Amino acid sequence: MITRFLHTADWQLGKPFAGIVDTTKRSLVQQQRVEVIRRLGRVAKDAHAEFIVVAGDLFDSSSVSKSTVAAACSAIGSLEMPVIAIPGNHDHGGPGSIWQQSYFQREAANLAPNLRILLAAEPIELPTAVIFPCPLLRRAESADPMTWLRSLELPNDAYAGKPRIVLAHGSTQGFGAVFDDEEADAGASNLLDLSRLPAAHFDYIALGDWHGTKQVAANAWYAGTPELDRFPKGATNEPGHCLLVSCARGIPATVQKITTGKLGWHELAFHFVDDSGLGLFQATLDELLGSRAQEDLLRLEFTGALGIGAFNHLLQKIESIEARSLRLKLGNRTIISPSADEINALTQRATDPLIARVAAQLVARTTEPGDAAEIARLALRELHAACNRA
Amino acid sequence: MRLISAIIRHYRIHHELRLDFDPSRTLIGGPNESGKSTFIEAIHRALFLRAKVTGDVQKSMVSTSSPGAPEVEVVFEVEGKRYQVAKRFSGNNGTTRLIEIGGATLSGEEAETRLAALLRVEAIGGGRGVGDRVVQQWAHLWVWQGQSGSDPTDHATAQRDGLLLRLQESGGAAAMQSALDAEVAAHFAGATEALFVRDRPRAGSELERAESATVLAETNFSAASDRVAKLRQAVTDYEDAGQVITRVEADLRSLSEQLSAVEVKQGRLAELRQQEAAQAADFQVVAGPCEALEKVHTQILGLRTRVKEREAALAPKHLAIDRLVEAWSELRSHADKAVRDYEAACDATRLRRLRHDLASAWTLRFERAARFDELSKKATQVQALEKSLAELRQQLAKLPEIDSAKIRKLQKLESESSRADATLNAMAANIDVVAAGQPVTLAGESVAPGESRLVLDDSELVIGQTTRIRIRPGGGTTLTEARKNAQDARHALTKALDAVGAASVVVAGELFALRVNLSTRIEAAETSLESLDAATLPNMVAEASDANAAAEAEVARRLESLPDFVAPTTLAATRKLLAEENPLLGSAESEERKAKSARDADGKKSTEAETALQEARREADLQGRELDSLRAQHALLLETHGSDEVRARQAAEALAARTRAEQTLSGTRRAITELQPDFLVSDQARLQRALSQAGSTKAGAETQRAVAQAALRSDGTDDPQAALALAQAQVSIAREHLASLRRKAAALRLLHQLFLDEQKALSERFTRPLAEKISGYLQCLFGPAALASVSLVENSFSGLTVFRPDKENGALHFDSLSGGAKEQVAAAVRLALAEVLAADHGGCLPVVFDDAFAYSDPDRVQTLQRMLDLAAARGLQIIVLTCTPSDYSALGAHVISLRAPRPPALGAVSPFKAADDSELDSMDVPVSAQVLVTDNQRDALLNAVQQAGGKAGNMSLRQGLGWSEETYEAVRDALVSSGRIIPGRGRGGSVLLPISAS
Repeated sequence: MITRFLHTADWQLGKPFAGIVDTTKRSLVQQQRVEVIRRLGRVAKDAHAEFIVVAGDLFDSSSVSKSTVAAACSAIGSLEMPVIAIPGNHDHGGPGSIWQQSYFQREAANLAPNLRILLAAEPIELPTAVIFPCPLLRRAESADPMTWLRSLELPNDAYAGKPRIVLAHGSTQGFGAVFDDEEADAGASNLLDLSRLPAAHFDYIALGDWHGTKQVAANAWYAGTPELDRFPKGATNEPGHCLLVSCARGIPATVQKITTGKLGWHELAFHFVDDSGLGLFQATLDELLGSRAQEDLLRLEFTGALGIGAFNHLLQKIESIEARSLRLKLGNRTIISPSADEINALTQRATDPLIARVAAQLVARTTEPGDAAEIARLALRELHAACNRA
Repeated sequence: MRLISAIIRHYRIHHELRLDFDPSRTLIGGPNESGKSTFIEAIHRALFLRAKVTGDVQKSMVSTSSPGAPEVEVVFEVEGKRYQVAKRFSGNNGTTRLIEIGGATLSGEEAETRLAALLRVEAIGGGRGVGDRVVQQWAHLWVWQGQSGSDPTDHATAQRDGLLLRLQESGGAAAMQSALDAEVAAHFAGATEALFVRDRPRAGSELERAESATVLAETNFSAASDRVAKLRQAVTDYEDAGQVITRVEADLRSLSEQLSAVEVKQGRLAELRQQEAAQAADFQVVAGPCEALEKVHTQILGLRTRVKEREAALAPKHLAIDRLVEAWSELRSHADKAVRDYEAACDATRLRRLRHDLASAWTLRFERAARFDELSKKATQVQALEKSLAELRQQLAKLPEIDSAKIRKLQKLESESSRADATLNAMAANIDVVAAGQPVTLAGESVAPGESRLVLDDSELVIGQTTRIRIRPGGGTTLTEARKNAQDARHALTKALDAVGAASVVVAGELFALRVNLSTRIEAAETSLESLDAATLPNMVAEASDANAAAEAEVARRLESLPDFVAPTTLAATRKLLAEENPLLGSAESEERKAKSARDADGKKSTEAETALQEARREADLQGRELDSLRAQHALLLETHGSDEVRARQAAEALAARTRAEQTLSGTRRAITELQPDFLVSDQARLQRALSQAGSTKAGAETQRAVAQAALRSDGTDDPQAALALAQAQVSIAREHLASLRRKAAALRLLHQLFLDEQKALSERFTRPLAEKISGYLQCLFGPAALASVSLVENSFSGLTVFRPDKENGALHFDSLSGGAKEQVAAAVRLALAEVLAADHGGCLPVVFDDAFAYSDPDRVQTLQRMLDLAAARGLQIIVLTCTPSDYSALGAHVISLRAPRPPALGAVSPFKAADDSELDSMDVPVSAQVLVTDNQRDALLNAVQQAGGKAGNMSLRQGLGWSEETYEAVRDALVSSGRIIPGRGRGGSVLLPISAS
């Protein structure tokens, strides 16, 4: 018996994206996390998947708002196929969990009757497969949630030879929330030891927690988050996908990675050698964003040095990038380094002895250690502006 | 510009006065009210006041004594050209004429304009306040009376443009800040001020808002964190409570089971205890006889044991007694023998003593016999002696008591009688007894044969007893006489003889000799007797006799005891025997003593042995009696309770019964012990307690779980996690924004500060030439180290500071200087200003000091002259007005002395009369006849007014000072004219201090 299903995880619906100051943009980004569910539905339908498994962290927290719950149930309900999910560390099934919340239960019953949350570690037999869920019943589980699978009596002919799918959420050998900066409080918990599973007993291990798509064993995959929710860590981290899995009992599963992410999360570090770097940066940015607007989140790191005029231009550019992107996370460590002309324009003012002398003092201070230099550079810029304004 | 000369007419008190100025140093002296100030004011007005001035200012100039309008002519020099300005201040008709010597003459407005241009001032025009305004013209050069101590930097500021121009020239590269400089500096000053108030962010400023926003964001974050932490705590609490409940429930089950088990055991225990009670009673029933039997048996056995013990104890005692008996009998035989030995020794000693005593007795007997013999012989001797003594005494007694006297008397009588007798004798018969068979007595006196007697008287001769013969001598009558004579003589003799009993004197002599012989013999006999103890001898003899008899008796007696004793015959033998017996007796006695000791010792031993034996026997008897008693008891018990066999049988039966009961009972008790009854009770309590505690723990945990669950039951209206994330992001944003603002604020402050610093530096650089010039003048006053500094801040001169290293307080701001120093420093500054500005006036400017050093002491006034001289040497025209010109004698100035003007002669009014003698004195003319007023007098009056509270009557002041009216008025007027006091009202007049001065 062959089964075909969609493996996804880490939807983290209701993620606050607190770093986005603009509430409209924040809503847009949040909205995309719901929208991707519909895209997943289209992928599943197109691929004739029989069901969808969500390997944990469907919600971002156990206390998401009603609107998030409503939107999530609505989106899930629209998928028109069973959606089988386990709680992850963000939406664990312990005390106070979202799953026990009456509002959620009502909404799910009304809007998403196809959603099945597996809160118990016991096999669930579907028409074409058996699910072995490893739900997290607390935020940080010190024991391996897959422990119960190790001692299961599973004769080959059990469950009518249906393919067996393990559904788990946690870290495996270097992958998982433990190794993610944004999950600072994850700690050494929710560790999954795949090596201790009787490999032959299971046909596919659907994992969640690591936001990049990643195969971690012959039949074990992290689906990754279907829509990016952070600036990716490294080139090998590939978020924004789901996995289309075909598997049968005792046969290696076929796994197909399908892109579902829409938002661009870009990191760009730019070093200004001189004022001409500004043009180079503009070209790079144009290449990156094209003509898109409100679809990208940017993390820009500027280093190097620019003259006062160029620096002011950079600030103008930053202003425009900020408007155009959903989020600009800026690390501007560009040093204001007035050009010779600029320095001369300030210090060689025969008619304005005061300005000239003050400017000369500031220029001298830019070589001082610590904050003094930065303050002096800022002051030069202010002085420059004041002189030009007058 | 240099003043050359001046003429004034009809100007206040001056009728007409002309003065020529020295090009460099002019000293105008004169008493008060001599018009010095008026004169210099007139020159100032000629230079700076429009001639057409009207109103009070014009009126104030009008002469009090002469009828014409005030006129002033001043000749001065500018840039090498001389000018004469002549002004007539006659209100709207006032005229001005300016003549350039050797050049054009201007008049009216033209002249005024030209004049202002020459003096480089703005014409002040007329109108309201012109009086005040005109005073401000050249105020930096013109030290008006009473203005000498004002801050001279104000004048510097007033002359700023010219001054700056000159300073810029002299300062070399120094450049003034531009308008842009000022604008930009003001921009940053404004920006800084908008941000900060005294280093703190200004309320409502962007910086302050950012700080508040950051604090708010941090507070929100803290609240959101707390909320999330509480939720997490609730999760932990819920889980903990769940674990507690699970554990406690398990505990409760286990405890209940344990309690049931304990209760079952307690039921069983109750049963066993009942059984135990019954079995214990049974046991008591059977245990009684058994115990009695055992007791008797034990008693019997005990008695037996004791009998045996006593017997065993007695046996050695009997043996000991036997040994004691044996020992005693031996000791006793020894003692007996010793007794016997002793007795034998005693016998031997007795015999020895008998012998010895007998020997002694013998010796005594012999000695006593000897003594008796001796004494007897003595007695015999005594008897013989006594007999002879008696005889002698008898003889003596028989002899008449004749002594030698009687003899001599007798001899005399005899002689008489003899003679008578001789006569008679012839007639007397003599009788001789030739032989006599019988005693013959003549006249009663025996006459032994052979004796012859003369018979003179009839005497009877008696022979024997039967013959009596009467003899009658001489016979008669012749005889009778003879006789008678003889008789008488005889008689006398006789009588005498009779008296002595002698028959004759011879007899008497014989008798006497006999008597002496007898007495001698008696005495010898008595001596012998005495030597023989005749008195005691009879007793001694008697005693010796008795002793002898006793000794004899003793010997005799002792001899009875020793019949075989061989009696010695002599004392020597006896003594020899005694000497032999003595040692024998000693050894015998020694033997006896030894024997006695032996006897005593052995006797004692024997007695002791006997005592020991008796004691042993007594003890043995006692124990024997106890033994008998025990045997009796034993026998009685056996008799009462039967023999051993009987009792053994009975005991065996009883014991068997008791053992059975005991086994039953102990079985029960073991069962009870195994149940550990004590623990059962405490277990039950413990378990019940534990159950109760577990129950409350469970209840508590359930409550905690319910509370946690309630806390966790989110209604979904908001998301605390999202709120926390947002709050955190807002904190970051706020902090970043704040940091950015702070950096910008720091940059603005830095700019502002730098501008301030640079402005100051620029100002210092700019004002340095001025300061150096001021310093140069100050050094004249305060020594070579004195320095001045002055700042130009925001186009104003200020901050005039004097450094005097000789003073402890170093740098002193002008305002902190004393009144005197202010005058002097201000003068230095004016001179410096004038020096700087002189460049615009052809290298010279006049500087007028009108009573400008009123507060300076005379010493300082002396040094001042050096400063004034320096200024003159540097090209300035120094004009000093003083009422004490002698103080300035060292200046070497051209001295002009004024005296009080006299009223003009009536009718003698000539507007332009040439100056002649009127008010001008040359140096060689006495100043005036006025009373000279000294500084001390001025000070004295000022002090008196001050002490009176700033106001006082003239009368009281004058009397208080003790001055003459003349002196008082002179001093008062001097002070009034110099403005230091003001005339007041009141009877007799009064004075008061101006407000500023008081």
